[in-house]
Amino acid sequence: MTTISNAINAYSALSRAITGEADSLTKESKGDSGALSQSVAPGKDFASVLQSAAKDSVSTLRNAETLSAAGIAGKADIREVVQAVTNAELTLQTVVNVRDKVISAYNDIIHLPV
Amino acid sequence: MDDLQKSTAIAVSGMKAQSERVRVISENMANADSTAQTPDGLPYRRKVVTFKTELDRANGINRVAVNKVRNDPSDFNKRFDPKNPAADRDGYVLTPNVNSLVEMMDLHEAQRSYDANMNVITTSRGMLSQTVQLLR
Repeated sequence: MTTISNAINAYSALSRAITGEADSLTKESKGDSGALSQSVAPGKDFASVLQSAAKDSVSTLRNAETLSAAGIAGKADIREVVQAVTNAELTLQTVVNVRDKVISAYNDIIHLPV
Repeated sequence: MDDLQKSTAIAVSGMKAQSERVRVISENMANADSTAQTPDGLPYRRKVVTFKTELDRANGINRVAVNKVRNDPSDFNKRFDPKNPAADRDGYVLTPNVNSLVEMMDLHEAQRSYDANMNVITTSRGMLSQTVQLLR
């Protein structure tokens, strides 16, 4: 029984970490998305974890996209383009891996023999 | 920002600074024979790059940036070439204070430094992505 409670604690800590981090990020940007993320943060359930993780990664990916478009036009520094694209790739990798992990845990719980 | 991502950002600033250095070196190399147009004019003067530390308060890191591109005040060289339109009464022409051997060594140094920064990026990216792979 201790192992199951350990696992649950680990996932709730993860969800707190992800929603907390995404929240601080959107607060820093001070965009109109602030109201959206605030409505998400208090829930901290499975869906909100995925949502804020996706939101976080989307902003990183969008940054990479803008910079690479500017790089192709010859307006941006090629090194900064490489840096942004690398960061975006890494963020996407992290999001995909964490999502897979969380979903597999979710599935494990759903398929528990009752 | 993660520390490893910060080190990538710092290395990128180093690469930028070194590429500006390479640009100045290539200016010097290309203009190694640019004499004056008239006898009282001056030939091309060699340029040197200096670097400085730049504090990025938002991320708490020290980047590098080009401080100044200034002129090398050393004396011009002289060459006997009476047919040149810039030759003085005795037939001597002032030539730029560029030594192509020195420029070659500078270029090598810039290249090595650029490589070192690229290695920092490769290593930190590898460390980060291997850490993420642990989740699989």
